Amino acid sequence: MAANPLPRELAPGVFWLGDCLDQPHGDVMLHGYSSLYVLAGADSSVIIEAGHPKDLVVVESQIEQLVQRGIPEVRFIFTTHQETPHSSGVGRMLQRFPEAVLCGSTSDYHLVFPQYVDRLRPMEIGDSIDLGGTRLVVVEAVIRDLLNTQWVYDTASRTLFPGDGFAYNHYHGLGQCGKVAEEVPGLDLEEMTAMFAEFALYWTQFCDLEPYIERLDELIEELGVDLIAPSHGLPITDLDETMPRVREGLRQGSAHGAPRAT
Amino acid sequence: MAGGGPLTEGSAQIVTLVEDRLYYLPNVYELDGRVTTHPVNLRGFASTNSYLLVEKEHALLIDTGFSVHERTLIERVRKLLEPGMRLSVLVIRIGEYYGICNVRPLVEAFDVDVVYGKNAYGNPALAEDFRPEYSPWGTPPGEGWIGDVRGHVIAGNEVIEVSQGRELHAFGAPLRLLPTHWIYDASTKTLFTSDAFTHTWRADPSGPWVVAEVDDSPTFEEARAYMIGNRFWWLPGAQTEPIADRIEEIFREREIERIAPGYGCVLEGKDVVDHHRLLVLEILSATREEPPVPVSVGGRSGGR
Repeated sequence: MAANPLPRELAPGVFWLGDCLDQPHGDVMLHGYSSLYVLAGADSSVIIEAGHPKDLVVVESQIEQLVQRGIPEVRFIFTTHQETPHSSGVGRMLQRFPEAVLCGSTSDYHLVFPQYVDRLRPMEIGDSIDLGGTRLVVVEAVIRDLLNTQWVYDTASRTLFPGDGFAYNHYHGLGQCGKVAEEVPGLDLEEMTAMFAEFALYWTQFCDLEPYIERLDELIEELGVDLIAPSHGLPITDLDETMPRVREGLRQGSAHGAPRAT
Repeated sequence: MAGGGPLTEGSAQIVTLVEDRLYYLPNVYELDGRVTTHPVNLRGFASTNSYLLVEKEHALLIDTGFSVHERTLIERVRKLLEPGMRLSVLVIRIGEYYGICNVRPLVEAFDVDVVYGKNAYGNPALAEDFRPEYSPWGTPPGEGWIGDVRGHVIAGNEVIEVSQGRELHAFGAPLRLLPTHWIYDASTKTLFTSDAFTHTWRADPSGPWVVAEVDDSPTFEEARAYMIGNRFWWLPGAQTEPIADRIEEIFREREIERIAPGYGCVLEGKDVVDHHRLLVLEILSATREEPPVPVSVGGRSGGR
């Protein structure tokens, strides 16, 4: 297996972290990410998402690399929602960074990490974190599973961090790991998006996704998004090129595509 | 419950569902707007449920509660296990905290041989080793006893043997939010339904945590509001016929006298099971005809 190409700086101060998860599919080995991102402002840094349980040692090493490179102190941790591939490293991060607080929708964490109950900072849509030179703003989660899911947006780099939105696997055998979507022309993004939805976004098989696709487009327009940094898909750097394929993948996985009841 | 501390000792109950074969260990927590299992405006108490299945010299624990339940859960399991009895652990929802938090403490406390869990998380035993007091920053999950425990991935429809002659049948959950299984225990006629059939809660932490009378049930409006106010927010306007058909098929093909959800009360007895099956089917039918929820319905933190 090739060396893990992450962490990777996608835009000034926006670092992509993580490791691939093997997902056998027939004769082909697919890979999926449960990515984290570190956003470094002028005064402080935030870790966005907290990682899949199997990745904890890898991503913690990547965070230590960034600390050694001199990013401002990690004062904030944000998770889009409480599912463990997005949040399992929260307790270890609060242990490592004693000045940091856990932000966003903080439900359940008082029951999971009761020793850190005083370091939970609930946020609502529209709230923001000032990192110095940029703000991380909580926005609505258009594509979600848990109802309390929140997305965040970085005002300086115009990066949207959409959690389970824009989720799709990639082919390990074709050297697609660690690349952004536009760097892998062989990526079957439509089928991969539909496949991921079948597994992880069960509800999309039974619902009309057109209102969600429409709102996704509106949100991207309203915010002026230039970069999309999803938790499970490869980052998207050219929205005009890639968004049509994302829309098609969502449609393929929805009730108007190929309904698949268990 | 300030800061998520443990509830009163009286809430840490052992409920015998089938003598010597099936025990129910409710792990009680407060509905104060800060939990993902219930609507943020709902108040009262719920239990995240552990079930101990016993057969000969082997026991299997389904789900393990939140971290705050660690001590009381271990105490109750210790009371139930006979000396020399092997213990396995099965987590129905490996990606959600309500069932997984105490796998590592259980492995440290008992002779656990196997941890069962759904796929896509690697070794199920290691996937639940995230608590910093057991697995600190920079250390690989799986150090200590848990590294010796065998992980078994439940890939799809599968038979899990508790002991010779006691088989559990795992299959895809027709009504769910996140990936999970339903599990059927034919020997006790019990269906374990993960995040479905969770629509009962209590005003008091002492329970009771078993619904044994049809009259002791939420109304259609209450159950519907619960479902679309949380996990099943997507039901209005959804094409749920395949879900309803599959639920009917599951109940038609199996003798089910007890529904054992991942959280909420156990639904006990044929009449109660029938009532709640019909209640869920009625909700699926009614919401199908409703307009879809607004896309912007979510996002409340529940923390304020």
